[in-house]
Amino acid sequence: MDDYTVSVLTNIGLISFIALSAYLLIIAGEMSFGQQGFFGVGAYTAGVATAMYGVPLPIAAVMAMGAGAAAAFLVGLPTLRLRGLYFAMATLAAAEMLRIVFELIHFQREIDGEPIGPDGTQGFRGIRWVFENGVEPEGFLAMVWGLLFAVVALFLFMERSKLGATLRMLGEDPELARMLGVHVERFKLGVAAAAGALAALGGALYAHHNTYIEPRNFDIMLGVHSLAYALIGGLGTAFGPLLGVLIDIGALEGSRVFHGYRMIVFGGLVAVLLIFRPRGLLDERVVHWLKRRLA
Amino acid sequence: MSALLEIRQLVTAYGKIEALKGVTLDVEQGSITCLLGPNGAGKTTLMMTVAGILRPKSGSIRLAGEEITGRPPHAIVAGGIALVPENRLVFPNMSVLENLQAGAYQRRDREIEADIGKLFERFPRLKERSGQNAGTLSGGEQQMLAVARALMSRPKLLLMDEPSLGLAPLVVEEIFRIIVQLHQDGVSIFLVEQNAHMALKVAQHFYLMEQGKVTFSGTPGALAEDEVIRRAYLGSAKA
Repeated sequence: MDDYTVSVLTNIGLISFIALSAYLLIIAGEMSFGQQGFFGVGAYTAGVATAMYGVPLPIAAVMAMGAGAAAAFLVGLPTLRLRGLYFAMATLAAAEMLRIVFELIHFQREIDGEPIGPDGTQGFRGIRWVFENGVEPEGFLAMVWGLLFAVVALFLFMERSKLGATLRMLGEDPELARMLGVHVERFKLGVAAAAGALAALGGALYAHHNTYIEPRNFDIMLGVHSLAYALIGGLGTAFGPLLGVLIDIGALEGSRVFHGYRMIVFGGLVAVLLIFRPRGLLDERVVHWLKRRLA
Repeated sequence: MSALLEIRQLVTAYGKIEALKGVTLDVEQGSITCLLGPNGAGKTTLMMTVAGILRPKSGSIRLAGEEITGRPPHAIVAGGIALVPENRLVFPNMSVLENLQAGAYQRRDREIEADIGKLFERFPRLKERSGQNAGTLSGGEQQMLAVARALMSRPKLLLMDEPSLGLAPLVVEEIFRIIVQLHQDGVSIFLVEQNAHMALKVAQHFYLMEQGKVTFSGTPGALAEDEVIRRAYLGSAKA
């Protein structure tokens, strides 16, 4: 594989984490436009841990997930009481606040005679753990996809479990779920925290793939895309958001067929699909049908 | 002996407007108790308050002697009350089977599968459609599914909010046959109905609610005798 292919595949893997994060909330009935904020929290947390304090990446990634879950929990406390559009706006506002916090953070340490750390809008360079520890691009790619498949396996397991059924109950009709005895608020907070952790894990890996992050990496476009990936790919299975990412980054960006027009093609695709397949390509019906075929 | 459900001086308000203005009524163990009343009388508000969805401002609700006033819905379900809500019957994109499993949300025992099997015997049409999305069922089938789902929690008391609403007469008769069957099996039922004719055939006790207050309490005989009620709910012809 040439470097370019490895890089595109790694990117597909990385963005899949935040797409799955958005997907998890959608199946629980919430449209969040703010998962990019937790992706950023993960990126900054893990970057600070490895580049400034020499923490190994696996531990830094766990720390990032903790930070992402905590941030999502705190954002969720006031916002999860909101419905529909209001929740979408509140999560977007929260993510923008986080982005502005990233712009305001100047926190650097002298390492080998060089200042390292977040420097406001100048960004945060030198997140080199992957290179300093001799991980080849292929090795990192395997790591990203290994983790991604572990997460997808967890999703597939969850979807068959009672937890998955409860999520779908919440997604379809939270009031009816409440009448059947589901502790709706507590459940949604748990889901928000898990989705925050997942986005943060993606962010942690993203920071180490790029070695450089800056606040505008975590702007609204990333959040809109992650929602769109889940909606295009389909809400019937955790493979849906992956398919969405594959279509956008793999086919549209990776192939460069549409170069300058990528966003137009992507936006058009979203519009067409929302009309003809409102729950995405791999929606519940397709998934039921596939299961019957495979069984 | 005290009643299964005892409601005393219950007041529930939406902001400053009191929808229930001190409701007092009893549902006896093993009975079908029917609540009649015009639209806007507060019948659904009463059901929602008993189910814990709405919090009462004052008054008390006791289930089998235990105070349950103001408890959250999950605690009410755990206490043994199941609600078949009005108009909000099923999870449309979940299969019939999944809807039934959803009814057993709080159960941890191993008899859930067996209970589903029993319900499928009672409602063969649900069995035929078990893999189908619930949203594709007819109105009557959805009502059946909602009843079956409520039974999955093994309730002491089943609350039914206008089960005949919007259904064709033949289907209404079927729903009432099911209600009678459940009664014969020993389930206590608190039924809100506007179809007084059908309710008269099945219930042992009636309450009439108007503008947030109970204005009549009595047996089917007394209800049919009452001139005002007969004119308002049963038409002018002798019932």
